[in-house]
Amino acid sequence: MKTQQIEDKFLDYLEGTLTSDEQQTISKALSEDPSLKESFENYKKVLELEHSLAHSASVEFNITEDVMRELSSSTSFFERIRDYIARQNNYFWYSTAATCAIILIAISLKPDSIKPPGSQAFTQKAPVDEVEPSEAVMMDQQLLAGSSIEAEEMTADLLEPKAPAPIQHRNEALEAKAFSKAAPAKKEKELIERDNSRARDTSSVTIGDQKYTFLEGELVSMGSSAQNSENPALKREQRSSDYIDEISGLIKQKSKINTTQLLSTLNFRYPTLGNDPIQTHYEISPSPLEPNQYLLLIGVQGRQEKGIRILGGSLKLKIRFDRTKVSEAKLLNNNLETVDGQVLLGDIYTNKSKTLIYSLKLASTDEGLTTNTESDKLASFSLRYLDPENFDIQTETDLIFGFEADDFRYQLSSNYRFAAAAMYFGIYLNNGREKTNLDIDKIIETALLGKDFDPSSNRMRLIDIMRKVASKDL
Amino acid sequence: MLLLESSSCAIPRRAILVLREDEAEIIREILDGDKERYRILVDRYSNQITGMIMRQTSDRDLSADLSQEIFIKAFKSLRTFRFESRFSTWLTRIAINHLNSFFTSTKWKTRLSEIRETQTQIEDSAPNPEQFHLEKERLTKLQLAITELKPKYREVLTLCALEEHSYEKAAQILGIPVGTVRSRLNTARLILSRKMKI
Repeated sequence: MKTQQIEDKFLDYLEGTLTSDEQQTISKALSEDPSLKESFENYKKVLELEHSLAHSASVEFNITEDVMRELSSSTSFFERIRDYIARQNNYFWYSTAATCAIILIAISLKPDSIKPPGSQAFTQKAPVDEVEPSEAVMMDQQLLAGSSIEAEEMTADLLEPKAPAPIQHRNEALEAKAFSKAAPAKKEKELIERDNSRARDTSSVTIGDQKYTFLEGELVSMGSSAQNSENPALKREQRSSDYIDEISGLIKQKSKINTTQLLSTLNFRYPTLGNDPIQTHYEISPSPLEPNQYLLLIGVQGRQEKGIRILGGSLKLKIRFDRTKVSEAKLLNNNLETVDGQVLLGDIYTNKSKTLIYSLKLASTDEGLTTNTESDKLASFSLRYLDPENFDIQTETDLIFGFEADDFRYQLSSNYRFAAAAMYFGIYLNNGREKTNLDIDKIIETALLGKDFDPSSNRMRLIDIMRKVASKDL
Repeated sequence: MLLLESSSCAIPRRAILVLREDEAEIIREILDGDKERYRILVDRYSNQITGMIMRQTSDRDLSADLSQEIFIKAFKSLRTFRFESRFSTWLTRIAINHLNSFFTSTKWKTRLSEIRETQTQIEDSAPNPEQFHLEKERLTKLQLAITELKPKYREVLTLCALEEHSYEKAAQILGIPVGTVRSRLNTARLILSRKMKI
């Protein structure tokens, strides 16, 4: 491959979406060609800077009032005509007639129109003589139209006459509608304002009965440690950040790995989808680590915001698989409570994600699936949680898939690869290294392909632990 | 033959029982004359849009001004909204177009030379590299380099790298195939890495 062809594949190479042959070709070229290597290193540095830039401007802006003020002052010409007609409806025809009369009189009084050919007055007014008659008419119209807003509106009425009766009817309808909507609009406005003010208040926040303060985005309890221990959700959240450090110790003690906590610690950042407080992301593919299995990843993510606060409390997730298409579905995460078929995910915080991985066996893959049609619904799921105002929120979501195998759009994301590797690493350890059929080298390889940009170094720390396990140092 | 492969997509929501009102309904009410309802949409998306501009200009006041212009432009074009996409997608498209025009304007070129001048002064006055925040300098350089990219490259880079939209979402906003998004993104990064000479 030529240098340019390789450079064109940098993105695919980094995302691990090339075939293994192509991946190897590029790795070889990079190790042999120093200038290409330098180009690739620069490319990666740009990626890192982009990432820093993407997270650099989490400033709150409040432009709403300015926009609304600007909108009310820049009411369009025709809107003003409409308002004028609505206001002056009873007098519409009178004013229209009056305007016509004024304009006609103005035209009829023009010197051009009354001058006798060759008269003294005409010959003495040279400047007027230079003006074309049609321009003079226009000038007079402009003079009239510009004399006052009312005159302008009335002239416009003539330019674009509108039937008064339907417009009046329309305005009455609008008023009635605006009135009926006034109460909910006010309520929503208040709620949005409250929500915004909470988000803006980065100095302190109350979770449960406890008050906490922010320091550079980190949550610090303002109460005593005894008080702190009364909030298990927060304690769990704080503890999870240390989980990768704990893993080496757990392996030595042959304790079980909590795969749910491990995936939470990795805190996968899924693509942002709009501005919903809690967002869901899914990805499905043949398992990169087990034959004849499919892995379904579901990421539930709190909106990206400055500071930490709960966006959804006591979140429950319910998945309903279509049994005609899925013959077997198994939740791989351990340490997750399930009640009435609902997985209890606890509280969802800002900037935090929780990841579930299901292992699926399809009833039949021979026929394939058509693309994004109603019949492709493999499963559907719903979320239920309490929002910060304690409203019970439910979302009903369809899970649809089925894509052409050669469709280049659907490639595995690095999050998916790394989550799968982390999950199977946990399973590998929990099932007993000697007993399992899993290949630790394949797990490491999958993790490396999914390492991607790793600002917190959590992924690399976990890969190091995996390597130690593979070399039996742990 | 069609096979199950993999997908990474926004999830189509069927019924969302949240306090938010349906955006399509809000837009219809605005179009019917209830201008005040536009406040909800501005409240909802102002941080997203202004943040997007801020990440490219690093100028708070300028970002707020541009964002305001974008929301006013969107309001005036609301009749062209066809209810086929989410409002946020449509709004982002307007924002991207507005920024494309802005980055070729004299106003921005003047501002750009001011930023460059300030940057040179800071570099000259810094006694040693440690004292000068290298990272910050690189970020500013990157921002400037991004604003100088051709619009087609800047658009994908803004959406995929700075706003961290998925390729599918970026493709939807820009109305181009996902493959084009990926290839333009790769090219944009190659151009930047050469311009930056990190």
